[in-house]
Parts: sequence; structure tokens; C-alpha cells
Amino acid sequence: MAGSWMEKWQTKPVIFRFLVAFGGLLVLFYAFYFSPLYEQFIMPGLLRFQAGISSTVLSILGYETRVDGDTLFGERLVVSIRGGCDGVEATALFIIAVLALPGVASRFKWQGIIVGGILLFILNIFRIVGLYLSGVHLPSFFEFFHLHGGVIAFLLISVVMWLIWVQWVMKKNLNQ
Amino acid sequence: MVPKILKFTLFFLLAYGLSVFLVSKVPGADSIYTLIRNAVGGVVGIALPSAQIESQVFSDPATGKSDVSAMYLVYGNPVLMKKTMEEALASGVTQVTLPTRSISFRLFEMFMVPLLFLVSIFIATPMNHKHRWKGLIWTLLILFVFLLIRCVVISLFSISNDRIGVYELEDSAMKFLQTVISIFSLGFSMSLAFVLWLIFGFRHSVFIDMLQNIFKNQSK
Repeated sequence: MAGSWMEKWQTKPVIFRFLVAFGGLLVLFYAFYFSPLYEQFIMPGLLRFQAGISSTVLSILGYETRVDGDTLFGERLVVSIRGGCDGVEATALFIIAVLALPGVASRFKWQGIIVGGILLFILNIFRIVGLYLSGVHLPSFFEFFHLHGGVIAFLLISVVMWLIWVQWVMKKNLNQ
Repeated sequence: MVPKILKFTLFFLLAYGLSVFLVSKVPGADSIYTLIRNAVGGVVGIALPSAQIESQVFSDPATGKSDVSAMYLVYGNPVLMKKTMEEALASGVTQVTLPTRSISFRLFEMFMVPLLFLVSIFIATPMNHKHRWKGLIWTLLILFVFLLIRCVVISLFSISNDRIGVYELEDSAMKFLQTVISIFSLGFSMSLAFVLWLIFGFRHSVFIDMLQNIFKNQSK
């Protein structure tokens, strides 16, 4: 029964399988992202961690900040990192797009997820640091950078990274 | 393929930057907000007929300056509003404050950002024009309907929360609405925009050749 279902599934066009898998994984992600497990136990720790690293980067750049929970306290500015500013949704979209792609060896998927995930995490730290600096030096542009830089640019980076990964996989396959 | 990805990125940034500039700075282009404001007022009014609904341009309480990129949705209990009017007429009062409440929506963030993202990503995607415009119209429609539903849910929560005699929901329903509202965030709207692009745009783009190549190679 399961075998015939799998056979039927395999005969479906690649793009159909990709879109169905993407949609299914996205639903699972949002179910987890808005679950008490994530909101109460994972998100606070993640935000605290991001705030801590951002504070370290800022101190290297010469901006002394203190961290309390998910909030960065500076001399001239207080920035709170909230859920939604953690870069998790954009990172999840990238990871889901990698996982959902059919016909790709799992070692390529894991390499993509690890490298992409780390890159997006680092970029999100730069985003937080950049937002803090814009709040200090260009306060009237803070909201602009928060919305366009934080949401749009970050999503675009995820899409572009995924396209680059797909191309990388294509090259690897051709070389084999 | 690298030049195609680079071209896609640059075209996206150009299209998005230009469209944000057009909507924000070019006189007349902001009339799109009037359209959105009327749509929000109309749809919420139809969805919640037991309440009196009206849309208004947002005005900064501190400066009194109006801001077309945001709006107030003013709502009230029609029975109470009618009663207040009748009492005022009976007592000969010429000016009366109607028992209404309001909620504000930031139209730029709620509507324009995801919609402009979609427009830009479709413009930037290398694909034939017929699929581009057809896909763009469909995705804009679907996303716009979703954003209107989001407004209805937020309005219902707000009306219920104010306990004005209409749509007074029970605690469990309020809790459910609160969860739905927190899920329907900007991030979710953007994810939906991305999924719509995958279905209506990416599928018909030249990027799909990469996927076909991968698959062809696997089945060799």
C-alpha cells in the first residue's frame, strides 16, 4: 500500500513534489514556531544568545552595551530583539526549500543546511548590530532599516542563497 | 546561471527600491492607500455586519498631521449609537460624541511591504511575460485577500475586547483569535508571498531548468 503510494508520488513532476513538500514542511515549521515549546523554552534562549553575541560585536566596534534577556542597553539606545527579529523565519524558509527539493543526495542537503544556517545566523547578528548603529547614528532611518533591511533584504538573501545552493548541487551532480 | 542569480538580485533590489520610492514620494501614487483603506473598511463592514464600521485616515495625535499610510477603523454598536443620537435630538443638543472605539492599521507595513515584495520578485524573476503578469495578478489577489482576512480577524478581536455589546466572544474564542493574530504576522505574510512566488512565478522561470537538470542527472 505504502509502496504503491510512493511509486505514484515518484511519478509526479519534480516541481509538484517540491511544492507539496515545501508547503507541508512550512506548516510543520509554523506549528512548531508558535508552539509553547518554542515560545517559552527555545525563543528566549535564542534571543538572549543573539543579544549576547551582538553585544560582543558592538564592544569590539567600541560601543559598550549591557545585555539583559533579549535587550541591549547602550549609553544612548536600548534595543530589544523580539520574536520575528530573530531571523528564524527566513532561515527556516531556506532550510525547508533545501529539504523539500527532491532527487538531491542527503549529504548535499546537510552541507547546504549547515553552511546556509550558519551564514544566515551570522548575517542576522550583523543585522542586529547594524540596526543598533543606525539607532545611534541615524535614528530617523531606524524603522526604514528595520523593515526593509530586516525583513525584505533578509528574505531576499535566503532566496538567493537557496538558488546558489541549487546551482552548486547541479554542478556537483554534473561532475559525478 | 550565476549571472542570472546576480541579475535577479539586482533587479529585485532596483524594483523594490523604486516601488517604495514611488509609493512614498511621488504625488498621487499614494492614492493606492485610499483603495486599501476603502477595501479594509468595506470588507470588515461586510464580515462584521452587527457593528457599525467606518474607515478614516490616520492623524498623529501629537501633531494632528494626517498620514495616509495608516488608517483608523472606527467601530461601534449601532444600537447604542442610535440611542445616543436620539437622546441628543430629544434634549436639543447640537453636538454629540458617539460611543465608538477605534483601531489603527499601519497600511504600509501590513499591505504595501508584502505586496511590493511580490511585485519586485516577479519583475526580477527571469520568465516569459505572459506567465509573469498572469502569475503576478493571481498572487497579488490571493495575498490581498489574505491581508484583508487578517484585518477582519484583528478587528473582531478588538471589537470583542472592547465589550461594546456586539461580537462579545468567550475567553476560549478570544484565546484562539489571539493565536491566529500572532501567527498572521508580517513574517507569515512574507512567507506566504514567497510560497505564492514559488507556485506562480518560480515554477515558470528559467531557474526551474536547474531543478530539471538535477533531476535528469539523478535518473541517469
